[in-house]
Amino acid sequence: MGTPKSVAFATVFVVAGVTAALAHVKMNASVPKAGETVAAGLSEIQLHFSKPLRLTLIHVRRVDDQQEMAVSSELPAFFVDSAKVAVDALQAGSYEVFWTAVSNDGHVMKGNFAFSVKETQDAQPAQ
Amino acid sequence: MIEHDLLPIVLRVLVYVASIAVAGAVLFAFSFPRAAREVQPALRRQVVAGFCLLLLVEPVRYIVFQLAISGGDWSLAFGPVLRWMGLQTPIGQAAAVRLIAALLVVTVARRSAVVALAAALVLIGSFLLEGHSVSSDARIALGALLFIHLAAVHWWLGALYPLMALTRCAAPETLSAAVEAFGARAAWVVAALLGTGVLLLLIITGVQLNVDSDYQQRFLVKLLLVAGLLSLAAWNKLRLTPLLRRDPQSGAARLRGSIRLEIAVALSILAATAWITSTAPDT
Repeated sequence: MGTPKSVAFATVFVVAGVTAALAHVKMNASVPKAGETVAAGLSEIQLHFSKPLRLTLIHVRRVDDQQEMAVSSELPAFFVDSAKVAVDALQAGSYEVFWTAVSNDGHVMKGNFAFSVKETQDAQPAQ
Repeated sequence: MIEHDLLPIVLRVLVYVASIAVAGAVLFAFSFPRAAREVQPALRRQVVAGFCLLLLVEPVRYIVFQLAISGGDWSLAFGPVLRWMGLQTPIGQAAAVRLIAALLVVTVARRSAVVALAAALVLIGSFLLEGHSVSSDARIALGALLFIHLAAVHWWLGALYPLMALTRCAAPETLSAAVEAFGARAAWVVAALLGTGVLLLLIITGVQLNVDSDYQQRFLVKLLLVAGLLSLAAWNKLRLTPLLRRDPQSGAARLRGSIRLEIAVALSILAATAWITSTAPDT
């Protein structure tokens, strides 16, 4: 095999072998889901990520009056792909969760999602 | 979802410049020992300036990183929980390796060329400890390509200041010989630079052209700047290098001006690179 052919073959081999491998960490899911309405009394929020990351900050804010909700659990002190955050039982209202984390390649990641809490019977039962 | 404010991008550019100054000077001395002897003071200035810049910028990057992960809250950023977080992540570890390697170059470069070269290669390799290649499943292949790419960048851009110094102080014969030797080797280095650059782009984008992607739009800006730099390099090699033989005085002056322009374009490429790496390939 001539050199140009070898180079072309090696190129295809390398690229084919490693493509689609470079996706950044994303939040896959949460409980409650983004946009979901749940029943009052919710006291735990779950976050699930596509790859392990180190969570450094979580804020839960009530949208109506911008009040910060107390987060009563410690964040994991290591890289995790899911985390549970304990909050004081949430009353009716719209809430936003803001998270900050460091991915395993050192990038600072930020994200947020919103959900609602209602006293009504159509809301999903709180977990 | 990656955080990308302007300050971390500016600081990253300064780290690139510092690293190229330190490691590039060592690569120049190793590749062109005769020319390096002519511009020894300029090479020393380049190494020391690069090291000082690194010493100044890396702690600032640490503070900025700590504030970014703690939502700008100083007491949380430097409180007991997060204080050492930077050093537990690839950003801080890469910075520590870079500082140690640069310190080695500054302190032993005159006494041992081999140790200086090894430290320069470690300095270049420190960039493999952070960034997108780390989060890839194909870390080894990406790391190898990236190392060759970065070594070529350091070799080329790190030689610009010493070459400019040569145009001022070297005898016409020495200058002409050095520029010709640089041009001959640069052809191979640029081939490696472009080859690995194309492979990295293909791998990172998953061989998918997407003009709506922030990452690919930014990459296009970088490619245009690289094309500009290559045009300048070709002009130097094909026009100005022969002119050095025919008319040394005018050739040296025009080459100096062209290298200045090359440095300016190179800085804009580094800025574009820092801008690209602040966003995710899949955005």
